[in-house]
Amino acid sequence: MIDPSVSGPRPNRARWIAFGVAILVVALVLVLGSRPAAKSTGVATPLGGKEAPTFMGTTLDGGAFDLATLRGRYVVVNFFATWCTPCREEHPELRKFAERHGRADGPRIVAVAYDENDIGATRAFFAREGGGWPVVISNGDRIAVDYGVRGLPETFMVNPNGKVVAHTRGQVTADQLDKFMSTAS
Amino acid sequence: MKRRAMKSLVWVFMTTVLVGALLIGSWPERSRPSTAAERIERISTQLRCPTCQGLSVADSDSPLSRSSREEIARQVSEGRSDVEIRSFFVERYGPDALSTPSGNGFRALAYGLPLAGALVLLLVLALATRRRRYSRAAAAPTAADRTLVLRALTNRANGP
Repeated sequence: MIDPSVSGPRPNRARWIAFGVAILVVALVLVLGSRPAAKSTGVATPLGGKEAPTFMGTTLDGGAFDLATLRGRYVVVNFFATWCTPCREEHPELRKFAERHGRADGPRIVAVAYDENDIGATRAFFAREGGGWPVVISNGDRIAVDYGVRGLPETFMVNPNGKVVAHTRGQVTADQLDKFMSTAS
Repeated sequence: MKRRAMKSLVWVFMTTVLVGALLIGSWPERSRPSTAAERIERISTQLRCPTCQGLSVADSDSPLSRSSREEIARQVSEGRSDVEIRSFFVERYGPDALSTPSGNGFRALAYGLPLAGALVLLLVLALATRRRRYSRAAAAPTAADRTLVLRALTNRANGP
């Protein structure tokens, strides 16, 4: 025979445990669900809002480049390699952006060749596809680590104060770059 | 009484062994200062390869991992501390740059949850042991029980 005084409280306790577990699950879903989802473009970077790492290097035409000399205007820092197909596909968009902003005080593009062993290929690519912006061919690997680059192509927009205001992973378009500038200013 | 004392002694011994093993295991090996190569190796294993899954910068041969190792070597030669070098990578790649989660914010759960789980398990074990001890004590026959059983057996032996 079952003694009700012994079996009585058990379902009650089980109910409380189930209730507690349910609250925990709901809390976990809320915490995880409220985290911002990763976007395909305009990805947040830990460098966002911070000073852009300054860099110097030798350009494709043998000249010297120093990012600090471009302070006072928007700068698009584009990491690329000629062996990277999305980088090659992105190139016309960068050219379009450069053509749109040809004025003297307009934004500038600087390309950083990353993991590029064949400088001849880079030179041939720019001669064929156009693009009159400086292409840094030395220290590319170090500059990439300094910017927290994870893959190619990757683009950072630096504002006139030298701060990183936008970042994209993957191909960027001229319209996106314009949008970044208008949002940042 | 002697048995209970023995039992307590076993528990004390087991706890001492457990705590001692944990302390020895977590004690940093710092009998001598690390060489630059050892530091580069150690920091490289503490950082995740930015482009691969489940590999550290030390294990991966991707271009970015190679560049990261060069950067670590450069900063070690410049006299930066391990913490400063790790912070350099966290500032650029975010907290995910570290192969072990940081103890702050949401990531602290990685440490807190197993600890909380272990505590809950200990509590459940303690409660279960206690309940078992009580039920065993309750089940032990009293003097009155013994008398009753003895009487019943005697009656049965004597027959109706």
